[in-house]
Amino acid sequence: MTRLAILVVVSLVASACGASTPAPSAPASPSGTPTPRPLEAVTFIAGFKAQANLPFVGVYVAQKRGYFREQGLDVTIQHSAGSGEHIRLLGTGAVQFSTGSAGDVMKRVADAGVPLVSVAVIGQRGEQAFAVRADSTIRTPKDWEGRLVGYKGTVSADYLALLKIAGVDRSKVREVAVGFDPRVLVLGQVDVYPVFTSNEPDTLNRLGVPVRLFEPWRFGVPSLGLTYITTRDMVAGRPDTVRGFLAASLKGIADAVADRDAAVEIVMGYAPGEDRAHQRYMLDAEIEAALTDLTRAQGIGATQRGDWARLQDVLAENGGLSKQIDVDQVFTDRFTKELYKDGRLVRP
Amino acid sequence: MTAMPRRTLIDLGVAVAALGLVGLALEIWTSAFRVPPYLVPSPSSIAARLWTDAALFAREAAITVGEAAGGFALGTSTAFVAGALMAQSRLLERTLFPVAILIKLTPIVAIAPLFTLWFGFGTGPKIAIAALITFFPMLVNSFVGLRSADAQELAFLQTLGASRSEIFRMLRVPSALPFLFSGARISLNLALIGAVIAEWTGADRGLGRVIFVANANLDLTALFGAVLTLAAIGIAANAAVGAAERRVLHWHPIVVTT
Repeated sequence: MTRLAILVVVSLVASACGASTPAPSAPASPSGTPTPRPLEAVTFIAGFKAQANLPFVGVYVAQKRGYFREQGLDVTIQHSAGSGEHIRLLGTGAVQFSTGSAGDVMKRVADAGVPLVSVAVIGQRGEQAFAVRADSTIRTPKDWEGRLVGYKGTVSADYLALLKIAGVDRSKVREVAVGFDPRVLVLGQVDVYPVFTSNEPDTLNRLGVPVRLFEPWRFGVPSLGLTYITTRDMVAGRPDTVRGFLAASLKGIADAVADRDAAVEIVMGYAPGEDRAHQRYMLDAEIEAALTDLTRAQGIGATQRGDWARLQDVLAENGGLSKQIDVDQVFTDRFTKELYKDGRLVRP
Repeated sequence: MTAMPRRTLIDLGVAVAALGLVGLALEIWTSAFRVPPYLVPSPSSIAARLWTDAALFAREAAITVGEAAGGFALGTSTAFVAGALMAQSRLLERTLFPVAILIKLTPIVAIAPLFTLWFGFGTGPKIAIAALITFFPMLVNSFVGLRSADAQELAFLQTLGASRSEIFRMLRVPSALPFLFSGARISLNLALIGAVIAEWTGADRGLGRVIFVANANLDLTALFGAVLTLAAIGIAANAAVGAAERRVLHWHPIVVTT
């Protein structure tokens, strides 16, 4: 009843996003063959516009190649405008799967009480970095003192952690909200500009301004990147659905790693008008961030509790969380452990 | 108490009662169905947030109002000058109106980030965006108002040998006043919206930033607190324009009959 009431309110939002929960349908089958079991309808909403973020790519490829249907799923793909509506839609049950960075997931759970669970960590390090022009005299974070450093939206916890680790006196750093247009770095309106490593560095390079990056993880700041997310209800009540969705999506990611050109071709079908070369840059960068010793041994998507605990600590110490939470409530590695054997995908 | 304030008070009472009823219904609904606050916050939680963070909302509102006021002044004055030029010359009308239409049809959200590139990070881009968004309604109202002068009165002044400047001051501007007040009402609210949009694209202060951050954090009590603060400012601004209109146009049928 509660869910029904909530859905009444969010139905306009959901319909605006095109979210739907179509009735289960059976795939066409040749006459004479047994009727296949009905497909289970689920909706995936990517956390941003269509582009080559690796978790998105996994879903696009899985959809294109019929991997979801092999898992008994009829997946509808939607995209968020990037204002957090995908999280709200997950919270209402209007969609079943989405994406979000590990830090964001933790923050939504701690601050807003949204019952999210990360079920596979695709990006093994934070995607945010701080760019300076390649010809800048800034060599270390300590050099940021006396300079104009931009931030998007709010000053991030990994920025504050980086300042602490690098011994930067924050009172000497001039901080300014810069929005989301990297041309402020091109025009010299800021000395340091926050970027997503798989995105703006390429854009800036195309503008004729190559950059150097200060990536917090390289300085020892714990971080994790994009993850597949669902809700506690899904994990507890529909684990087979979650397992099937991940099996197909991770297979899609494996395909993308094996044949990047083919993956970008599929991405372009979802992102007409986007620059193909930029999408390839993004895919390459995200694959690099997904491949670590851990994932080479246990498969892309694998995670370990210690990373989440360290991430929580750094967020809590730097104002990124309103309260401590039980990290075991925020992520689970049970599905990736079931799906991989010796780093290779298997379907239980 | 004069008739006008009494009527205003009655209108205000009806509006408050209607809002109260909507708030009560929402309160009951969110409580009865335990709606998560990240989806729909209860009115009482929004009220509590407004109370506890009153200083924050007031401080940030002052920033936004300052930007909106600057944009309103710049946009409406420029629009009035353009409207006056268009009213005086068919050639200018044909030249400027397509430009005005272009400005009107430009999605502000799409070009707002460019204003930061052009005007920097300070209040400049916020004022410019607020000015841009207020421009068209005031332009149209100025133009139509200045053209609405009574033909007989115009002919009379011309037979007296009045100059264009005298006709403008003594006939066209007074004739345009109801239109100018109408344009001001529309533009004031748009100026507030323009300032908020500008703050979304890169600001460290203002109600727009409060809304932006609250949305990112799924903090809907802060979001609606800022929205209600903005609405209150808009209502107050409209009331101020209405009061000024009644005072200036006390002789005009539009005021006498309403």
